[in-house]
Amino acid sequence: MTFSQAWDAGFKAILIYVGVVFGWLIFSERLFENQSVSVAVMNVVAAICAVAFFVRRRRYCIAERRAAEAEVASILAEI
Amino acid sequence: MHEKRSLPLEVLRYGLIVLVIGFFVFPIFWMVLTSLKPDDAIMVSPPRFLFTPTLENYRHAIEDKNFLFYIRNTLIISVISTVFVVILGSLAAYSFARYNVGDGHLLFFILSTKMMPAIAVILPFFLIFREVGKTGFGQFMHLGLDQHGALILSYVVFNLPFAIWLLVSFFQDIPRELEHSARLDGLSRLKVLRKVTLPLAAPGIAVTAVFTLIFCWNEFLFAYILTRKTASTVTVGVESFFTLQGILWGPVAAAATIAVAPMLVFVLAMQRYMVRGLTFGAVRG
Amino acid sequence: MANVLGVSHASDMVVRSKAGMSDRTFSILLVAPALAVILVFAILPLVYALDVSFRFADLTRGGIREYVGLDNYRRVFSDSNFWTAGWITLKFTVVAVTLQMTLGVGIAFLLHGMTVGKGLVRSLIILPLATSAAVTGLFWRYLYDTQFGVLNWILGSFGLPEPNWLGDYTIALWSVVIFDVWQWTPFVALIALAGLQALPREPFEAAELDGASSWRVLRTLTFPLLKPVLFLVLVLRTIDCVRLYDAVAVLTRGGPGTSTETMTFYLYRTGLKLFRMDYASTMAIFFLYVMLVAAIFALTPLLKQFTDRAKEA
Repeated sequence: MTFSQAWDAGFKAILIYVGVVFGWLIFSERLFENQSVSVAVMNVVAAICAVAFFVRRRRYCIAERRAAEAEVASILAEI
Repeated sequence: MHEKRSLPLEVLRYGLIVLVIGFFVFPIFWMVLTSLKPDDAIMVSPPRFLFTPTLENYRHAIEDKNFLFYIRNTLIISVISTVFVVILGSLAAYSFARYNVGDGHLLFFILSTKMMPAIAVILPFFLIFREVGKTGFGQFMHLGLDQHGALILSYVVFNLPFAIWLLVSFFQDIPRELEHSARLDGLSRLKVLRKVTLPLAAPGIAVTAVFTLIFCWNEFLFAYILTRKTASTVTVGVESFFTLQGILWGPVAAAATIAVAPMLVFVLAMQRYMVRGLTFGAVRG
Repeated sequence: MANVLGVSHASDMVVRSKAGMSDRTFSILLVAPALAVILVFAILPLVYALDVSFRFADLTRGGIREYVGLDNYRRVFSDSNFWTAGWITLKFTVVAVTLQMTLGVGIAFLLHGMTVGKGLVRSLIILPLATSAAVTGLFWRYLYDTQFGVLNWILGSFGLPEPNWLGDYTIALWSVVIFDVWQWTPFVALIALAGLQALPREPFEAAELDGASSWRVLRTLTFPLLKPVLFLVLVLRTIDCVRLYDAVAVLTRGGPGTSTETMTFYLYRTGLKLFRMDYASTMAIFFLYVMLVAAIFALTPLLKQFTDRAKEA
């Protein structure tokens, strides 16, 4: 994963985190009786979403790089 | 496209075009007309098209309301802002177009600040300038509230993203080969930029300057919030024609005409280049 | 992605200079001043707004005070006025942008087929673009006037109903839309026209030889070729409509009632009229978040176009 890709994925992960927080405050918080429990659960959910996104992105980028390397290798082998 | 043209269709086409022109030009025409009307021809129903033209409204706007003062402020603020925007913007855009600095992320960041609604940051701006204006440096640079520097700085910040966006497309249109060979001839990078690239990009830079100038001239919110009297611009000046007795449409029309006339003339003169500039390189040709 | 293999595109472009400054340093030096200005004056207010959004800040009661966690966000999200303002903004944007795009493209086609006087018409319809919304908007109030307005006089002389343009809460928003359409349709029309004029000739000649119907040509050739330009206009117009402030401020001031109170105007009223800096900042942050997410979807295709061009050379 290059720095550029990591930057992109990290930025989007942060946006996802904030998005989950907003969504939670709008829709889910009223389902909880205790506010601090709600906030705790919210942060956990948001963190999971953000990290999950980042990890998926990372895997995807690594796989893509492998594929590209394999392609180059096969071209070199042909020559 | 060389399809055959039928007469009725052509008549329909020109009829529609006349309607279109009417819709877009009439409000401006009406504004100019109203500015020339004597008082007794303005608040009448039905609207009057024939009257003895008078310059009384202009006299009222210029002499009683000192409207040229706002024009002077606007001119100072928008011209200086435009100069800064064009210089900073050209350097940055060149770097984006040639070296792809930041691999698209920096450019995204800069463009995304264009999406920022001015109103969302106006309060912090207001408070920052209030504090800065109290310091010696701020006073020296006229950065306090109701001072020219504060407005200039705001306009530079808010017009840079758009200018960079436009300029990048112009710089991309300039073939790299020229720069490359100039470099091989032993010119430094800065010299290449100054002697080869910038002259070639001059039309694009001019277009960007035109747009920036128009946006600065027409800006309202920052001028409204950040100025009171000494640095007010035309858009705010026109608002001052609201009086407790109601709106005096004659003087308002005169002031509005003075306020928009410079940009109207300017746009008419630059029209051909603006259209090319507006397509951001999305149109080749 | 061309840079998967970590190939640097910049370094092979220009010969290394003897002075020793690398392309990288040079390119960063060029961006630095602009970036510094934007960073300081875009990020600083943002950080400030973020900070205030977590505090209690009623300027009529002792200014900016203690931190209250997420309470401001809770209050804003349960504020029905906030959602109403959002709904009004959405209505305005969808209607205004749709109208501007359809009318603009339509006008572009009209002009494109003109044989004489194209330049003159172009000069005439560009005029609204050059005027300031704050100035001409003010004058439109005179056009909209129920008693002396020229608009109602025209409608009346055709025997049509004469609406109370800015005073009737069911129509006021649409009156603002009409004003925005007046000002910005030329923008769409001129860009679409430039796009039409730059279309390549060959595919159209081939289609004509094939005897394709004009509708088919339009659907399979003209619009796909125009798509990049139209998308760009769409993005620009949508951004501006969502951020609309000037027209509302001079035409209706959010009224009658709150029927034309868009997000930006509600923000203005909360922060600068009611002095609830905390709510205003919270709304600003939420607003920015929505715009940023939208920016990712809207700008990515445009930026891709740009980076591809930067790389191909």
